[in-house]
Amino acid sequence: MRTIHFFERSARYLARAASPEHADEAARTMTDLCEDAYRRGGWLDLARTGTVECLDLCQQAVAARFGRRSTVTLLPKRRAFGAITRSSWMAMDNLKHALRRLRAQPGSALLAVAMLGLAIGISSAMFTVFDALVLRPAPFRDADTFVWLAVGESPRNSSVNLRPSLALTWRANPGFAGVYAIRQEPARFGTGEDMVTMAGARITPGLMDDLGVKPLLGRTFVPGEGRSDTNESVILAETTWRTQFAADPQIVGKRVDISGASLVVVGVLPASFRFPFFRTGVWRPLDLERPAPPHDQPNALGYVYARLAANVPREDVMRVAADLLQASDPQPQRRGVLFVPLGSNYLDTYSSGTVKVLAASVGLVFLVLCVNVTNLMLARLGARRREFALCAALGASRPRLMWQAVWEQVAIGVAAIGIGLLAASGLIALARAYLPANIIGATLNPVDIDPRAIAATSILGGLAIVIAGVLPAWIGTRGDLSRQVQTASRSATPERRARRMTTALVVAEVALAIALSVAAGIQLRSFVNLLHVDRGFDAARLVTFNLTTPAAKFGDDASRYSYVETVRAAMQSIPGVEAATLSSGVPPSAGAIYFWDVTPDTPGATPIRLVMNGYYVTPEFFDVFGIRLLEGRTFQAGDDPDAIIVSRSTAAALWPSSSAVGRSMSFRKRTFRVIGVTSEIRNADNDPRLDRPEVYEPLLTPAGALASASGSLTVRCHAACPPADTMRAALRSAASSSIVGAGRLVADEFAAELARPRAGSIVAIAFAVIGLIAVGGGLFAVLMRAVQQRQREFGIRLALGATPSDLKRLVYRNGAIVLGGGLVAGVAIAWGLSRVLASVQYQVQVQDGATWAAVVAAMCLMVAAACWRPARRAMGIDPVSLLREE
Amino acid sequence: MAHPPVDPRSFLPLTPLAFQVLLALADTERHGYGIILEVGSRTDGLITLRTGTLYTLLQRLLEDALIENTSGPGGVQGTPPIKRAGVQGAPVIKNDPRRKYYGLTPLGRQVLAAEARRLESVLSDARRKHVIKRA
Repeated sequence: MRTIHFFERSARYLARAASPEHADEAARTMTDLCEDAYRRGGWLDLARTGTVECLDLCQQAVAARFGRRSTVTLLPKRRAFGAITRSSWMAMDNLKHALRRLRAQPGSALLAVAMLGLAIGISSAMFTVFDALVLRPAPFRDADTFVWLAVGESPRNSSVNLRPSLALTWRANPGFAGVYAIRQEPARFGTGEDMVTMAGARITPGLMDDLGVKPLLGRTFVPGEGRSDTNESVILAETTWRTQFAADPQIVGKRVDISGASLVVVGVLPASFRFPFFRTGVWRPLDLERPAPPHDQPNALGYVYARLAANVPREDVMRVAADLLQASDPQPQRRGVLFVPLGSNYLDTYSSGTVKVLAASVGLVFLVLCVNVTNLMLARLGARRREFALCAALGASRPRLMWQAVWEQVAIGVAAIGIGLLAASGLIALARAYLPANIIGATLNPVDIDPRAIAATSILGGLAIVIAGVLPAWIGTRGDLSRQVQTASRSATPERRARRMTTALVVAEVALAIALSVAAGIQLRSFVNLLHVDRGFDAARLVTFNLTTPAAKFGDDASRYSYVETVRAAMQSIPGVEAATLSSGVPPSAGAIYFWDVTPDTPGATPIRLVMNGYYVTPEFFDVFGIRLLEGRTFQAGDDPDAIIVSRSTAAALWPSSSAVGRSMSFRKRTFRVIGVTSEIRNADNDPRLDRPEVYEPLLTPAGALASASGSLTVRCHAACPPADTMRAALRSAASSSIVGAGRLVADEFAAELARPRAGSIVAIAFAVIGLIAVGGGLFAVLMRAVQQRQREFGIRLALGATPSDLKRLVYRNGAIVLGGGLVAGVAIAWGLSRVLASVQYQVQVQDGATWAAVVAAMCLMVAAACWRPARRAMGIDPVSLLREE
Repeated sequence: MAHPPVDPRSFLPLTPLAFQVLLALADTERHGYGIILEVGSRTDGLITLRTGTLYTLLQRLLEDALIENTSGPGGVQGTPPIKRAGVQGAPVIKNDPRRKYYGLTPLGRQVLAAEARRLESVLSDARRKHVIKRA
């Protein structure tokens, strides 16, 4: 049951702060208590028990966190029974009075609590996500002095295959307090169909202790582990321990099978420890001095991290590290050492932009809802002006009256904070479940409600109380209240000033809602544009299989050619398959990445540094993938190995002013002859900055990759693809010399990338809808109240000859004024947001006409709907009965 | 080198909660939830232990070596489940190998006995002064 699970997780989290050794046990106890309570008294009893237990844990956690001795002691403490002060009594009195008031008008109080709770919940959830993804540094000890030593021109363009000797040399540098190596090593659990693969890493012993991680069970790696004779240790992540080993408390010391090896579990790390990647599930040791095979090979290290020594200038450490690299590097002129701080943030540009746009939208939603509640509170206090006037006449001062009004708002605010916290917890669970992993998971920080989020919720709650509580209390109790007693009985027409205030607030709401809707509209348009973007090839109805073929099975080119043709023909003969091709890698992103200095055959040309996507392909490749040929021809069976096809951007970079066909280019110590030019393939992110030019070489040549590496067999289906199992079985029987991987749709890669704009659009539209509904509700309430308060005025107007239609026009005119004012302010806010929006917009601008037209139309409809009922009420006023009442 | 013996009286007087927890562990080893149920049942709900308070208290008792972590009553395997008798719909407490069990140390037992004696003398004073009737 989700509620029990929620309380269990809360207990585990809180107990970690209070007494970490008992966190799991406290969580189990909480589960038992909640189950008992549910059995005994249903959901209400469960909620009560869970909340009370959590509060108790919270109290202990706060005591432990702030270094205060807990109230729980073995010896009884001396209690000081101080007298209850007068101010405490007054506070209690005010609170009782406020609660009584709220009970008297429960409808508007509940509405205010719900709206404030929603505002606080959405904002806290967004803060939690934003904090984990953007604001918070990596959750490790002294993260600012822990750096990644990137060897290369830039972090993106750095080498990840370093020699162990280099790390040892760096270790001797006194500027480093510690040097550690990390290498990715996926871990496999189980076999056959049940096999589960998860991210794993080899790390140097001492790294975990340096980062300050405390294992949940067992220990971390100790120096010396990771050599040939000490290579059996493994540490599990808490998630792995729970999912793969059912949270076995006796796991430490047991042998487990991982990736075909029998390993001894030495520890379990808490789920909050995410390093070096956010989904690492298994760690194994990597000794730098005598690494176990195959890590003893040259260039076997992956990433190298270092802890900078205190009191040594960073520039000096960098210079020494670079000198050591120069001394040992065969290509020193092109490589330097960069100190890259350990950021928690793994967001790429697009996700970062999406998160910022959503954060800005949440800010607007928060303001809209708070303004709405302010209006509601003003209405409540407006109805009490006579009561305040009477109190003032009896001698109550304005601060006393205001204090009483504030208490009511404080009670609403506190209830809203509670609801907001629950809502935030639920929204974060939703975000974790439904937001794409490359947004929500791209951080080393856990995305969870933590003390920072609770503090943020409280601050937001305080802010909401100030906006929606103190401000109305101040406005509601100002003016000459004693005069109100004299005038109230004669005239119900409110002050013009109060009406202007409420109207101004609704105008602000409309402006914020327009900005929200424009942001949502821009994201939606961008998403639609992305759906229809030209990707450079046709990804529909393409299924690809990975083929791993041992090199030893092919003695010569002839047998390789025959094998490939057999496999391809077999696939092409399956009913429903249109054509098949073999290639090394599949567009858009699985080609080999070449970093080469390419020299064109232009006289006097100098080498040009190009980063290219390279593919080895069979002649059918271009037809199967639908890649357009712009010039020349595609491959033929008899082409020599030096024939090459380039994409338009490669050709433009090398021969900007002439045709590329028939020209030569040199790289990789070979010279190639260009036989054709094709269109570009767009990267899956659709980010023009990530597009790389392509080069295609023939697969069936001595340089072909199939015999030495894994390749891909891709088929294009007719209308619908045959079942994947049928195709895989046919491929298995035809390619008996190969290991056949599971099939996947090429379009899935784009679908995965589209998940981010889709999720961003959905969330933004949800925010815009909340904003629109809040605006509609707010405007409706203001107009209804205005009509009610101006009944006498309307009655006189009717008596003087005005028609009901005139009154209707009056109400609609008020609505139109609000809309017009909101539109002007909304344009300004949307313009202010345009820089933030720029990161997520694709082939659409903030001033997009269609988006604005849709937003204005939606807003007009909402205003018209909000005016309809008040206008009907105004038209139904009977002047005769009004005068009779007077 | 052996530690000097600790005088059980140096822990007195115990708080009511600490006394109740030690008393709950006097007859058998229990896990946290078992302690909560035992104390609640024995005091007829007069004393309710909360999770946070309990585990902070258990941590203190562990640090003072009055209790220790154990493997469960009579080992974990093969022990029949404990059930609170006479209560409709009462929870069944099964011995769970994943749970942490706690038991009294010899020092804890001495402290418990010393506190019980202290309370007994308080009780006899109350009887002597006719605050309560003699049993």
